[in-house]
Amino acid sequence: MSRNRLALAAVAVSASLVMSACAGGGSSDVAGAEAAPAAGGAATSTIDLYAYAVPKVGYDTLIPAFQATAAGKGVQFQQSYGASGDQSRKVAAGAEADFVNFSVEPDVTRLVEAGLVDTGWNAGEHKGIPFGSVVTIVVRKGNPKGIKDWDDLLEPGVEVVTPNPFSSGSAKWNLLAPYAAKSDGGKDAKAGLDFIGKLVGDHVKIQPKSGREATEAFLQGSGDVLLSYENEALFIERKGDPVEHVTPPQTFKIENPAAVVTKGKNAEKAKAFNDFLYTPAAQKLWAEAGFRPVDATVAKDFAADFPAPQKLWTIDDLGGWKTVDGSLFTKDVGSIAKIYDAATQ
Amino acid sequence: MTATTLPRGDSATEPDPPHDEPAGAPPTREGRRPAATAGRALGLGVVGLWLSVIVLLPLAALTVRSFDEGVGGFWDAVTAPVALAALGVTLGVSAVVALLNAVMGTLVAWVLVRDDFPGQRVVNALIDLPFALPTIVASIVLLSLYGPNSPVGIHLNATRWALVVALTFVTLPFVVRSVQPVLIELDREVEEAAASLGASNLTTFRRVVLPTLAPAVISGTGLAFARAVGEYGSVVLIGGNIPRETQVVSQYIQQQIEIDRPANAAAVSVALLAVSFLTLFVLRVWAGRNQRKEARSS
Amino acid sequence: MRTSRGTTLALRSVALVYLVGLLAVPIGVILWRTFEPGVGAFVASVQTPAAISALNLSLLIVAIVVPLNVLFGVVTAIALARWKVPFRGVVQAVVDLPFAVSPIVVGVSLIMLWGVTGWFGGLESATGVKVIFGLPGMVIATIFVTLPFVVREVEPVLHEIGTEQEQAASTLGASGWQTFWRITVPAIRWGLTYGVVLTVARALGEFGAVIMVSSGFPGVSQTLTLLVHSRYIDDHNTYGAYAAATLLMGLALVTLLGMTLLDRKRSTR
Repeated sequence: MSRNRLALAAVAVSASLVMSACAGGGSSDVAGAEAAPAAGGAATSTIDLYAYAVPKVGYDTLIPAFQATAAGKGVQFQQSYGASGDQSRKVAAGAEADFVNFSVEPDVTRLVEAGLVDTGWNAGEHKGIPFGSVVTIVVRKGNPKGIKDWDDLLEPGVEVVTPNPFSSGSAKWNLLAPYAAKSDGGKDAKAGLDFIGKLVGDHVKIQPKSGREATEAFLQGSGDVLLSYENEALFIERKGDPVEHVTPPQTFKIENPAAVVTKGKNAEKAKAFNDFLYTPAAQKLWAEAGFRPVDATVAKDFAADFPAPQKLWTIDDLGGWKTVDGSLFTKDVGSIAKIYDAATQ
Repeated sequence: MTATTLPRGDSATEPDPPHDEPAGAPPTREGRRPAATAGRALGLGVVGLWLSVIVLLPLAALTVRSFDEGVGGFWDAVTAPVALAALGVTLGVSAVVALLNAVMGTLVAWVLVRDDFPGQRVVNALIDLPFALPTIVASIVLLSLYGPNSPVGIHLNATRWALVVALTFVTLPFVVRSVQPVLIELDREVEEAAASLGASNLTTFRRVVLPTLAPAVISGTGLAFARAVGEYGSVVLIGGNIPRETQVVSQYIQQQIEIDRPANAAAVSVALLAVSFLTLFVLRVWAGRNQRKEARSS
Repeated sequence: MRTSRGTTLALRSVALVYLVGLLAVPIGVILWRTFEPGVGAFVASVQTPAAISALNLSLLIVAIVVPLNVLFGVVTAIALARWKVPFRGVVQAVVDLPFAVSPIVVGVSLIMLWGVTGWFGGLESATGVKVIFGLPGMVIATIFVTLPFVVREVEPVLHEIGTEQEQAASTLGASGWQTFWRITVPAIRWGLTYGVVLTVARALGEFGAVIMVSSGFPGVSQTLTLLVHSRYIDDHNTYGAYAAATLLMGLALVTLLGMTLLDRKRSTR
């Protein structure tokens, strides 16, 4: 008797579990990003988006805007955010993606080499870069340590938070900025590397895996200085956290590439989404979210929000990503990689 | 005692391998014997396959991959300074946590068994909470109290104290739940006798109670230690993950995966596995010996 | 041992202060933080599409893992308690092994076995079934960490009840199945149920092993525990993380209640 009751209870429990597991539930934390499925049972498609850690704040407004367009009607999104390199390796290792947005170009190149992304992904007008930013220095409210420029980071007792360049794209930009400034755009590599050696060896204590985790560690009290994207600095300032940012006179232009995974299930919709990102309307949304737009007209409108530093180095000044990644960041070979390993192993 | 306080000294407590067939099985069984034997063979096959696919094969793959770059590569990965530092932090903090548990767990068990106060049953039930609570929740719970917005003004996050608090939280039940049943069954007459012979409470506790409790205290402490060594979820938000300071081995391993050094991750995983396994092995041998001793003396 | 009133009170205070400081206060703080903006805010936060599907995914994993663990766990327990098992000491150790393995190590091991470059990596390209970064990986990880519970709760009961009743039943002509259903199952039911409750608690709460093998898509491959983490870290949404943690805590409390009730039942069997 009691066996039957037990079995019955077990069946009832599993049935209710399965049923509730089948109940609704969509993809996003933001209610607005959840577009109602197209009426009349029209087929909906889903774009799997893999991105680096910080542009979620932008996509939270861009995705609903895309869904409001004719091309984006009924398109659902599944979004994954994390350390750029880690995300890129996940996609290369088989995680399903239709659209990727990484912090640095080599993370897209990895997918090109894996045959997942078309070789012509960066052939367009903006070279596959829908938005950018600059490297900035985030300090505690009131700037108690008086940080103004790169040299201030090497003052005794200043602890700097920047993520791990082996997983994070943000970390690479953060180290390239002072490297370019100190080496005069790579001409005096030794001076640049000396600076990086002192910075990483004496002032960097923790190795968060992504730009976002670095922010979180900084906000929880670690360190005096956070190196980050300007957009991330704006994001946390707008959230009301007690920090402010200083953009040094010489800094680095961040270009965050986006690409369609041609082998993805929804390449067509992903392409529509990718194209949408470059439209003036979308560019305006990026700018409002704190990212520097690439569309010249929109950029002009927001010029006041994004002051131009005295000297803005670019990756091309250093010879492009291929050279930079090979000579500076490749594991066991690159100069910065070796400095970082020596300091952190 | 909950299942989580396992492994027990099974090898010692369990009866000798049971008879395959009940001795003198009645003749009526004879006809079904081949079927039953076949069923058992099938059952054993299923058990073997299940345990292999779920537990053994992954660990075997891990071990093999850890030697991807040869024995030298394995050794280099395990002895990298930051890896060693992570091991040191983990073992040190776990030892502190285990000792704290040994003292406070025994005390709590004593109060729950010998004392009598209103609300005792609620407190008793609460002890199991850390077993039921997801570890990430433990982490966020502790962060909300000891983190940057601490309402009591105590900032522990990203310090070793945070690790101690987090690990003590998740290992709380081990010693309590292993000492409690022993205390309940403790023969109080011996204590009374000791007292009537003029022994002070302290002497009675030291000479009579403690020796009886010791095996339970030690096994609970050992399990708490083993759990602390491998813990991840409860330290992930509050620990700070600072290499050489608060980064525990689990976090180091995860970092190696994230920066695409799977062979390093596998090698350090094998080292960590060896530590926890050794702890449990020592406990099991020790428990077995103890039980044999007890059996002999009774 | 008769302790004086003073000693008793002192011990009691130390124990209670310790438990209050370690357990009650932190939990009180998070409850207060969760419900301070009102119950409505909490409900809204756990009813976002991502939260609902995280809950669904957690429950789905439980619904898959529990029956598998019951089936294989009971067979393993019976084998260990009743049959002649070759290398039984080794088998016992293997069953206990998951207790000793760090969840992160579980994740790494599964990647080494099932990942695209792992031993079984060919399976994925051959069948298209994605194990790592898919539901199967999360299920396997959860089975790994919960494997011992059912076995370790059922096996001692089988030892305790002995074989007399089962023998008697078969003497009276009952078939193996009849004996199993009529004698064995009723005897082990509370132990089994207790094992299931422990499995459910651990399956709902597993974090380290699951985060290693999940692709982490909100709404698809994010369990409740991953949601807590991702809201805290990726979304910078502290309140949302508190709310999701409180939801998980509620589930844990229900489990705890079940454990307490069952423990009593089990011991008065």
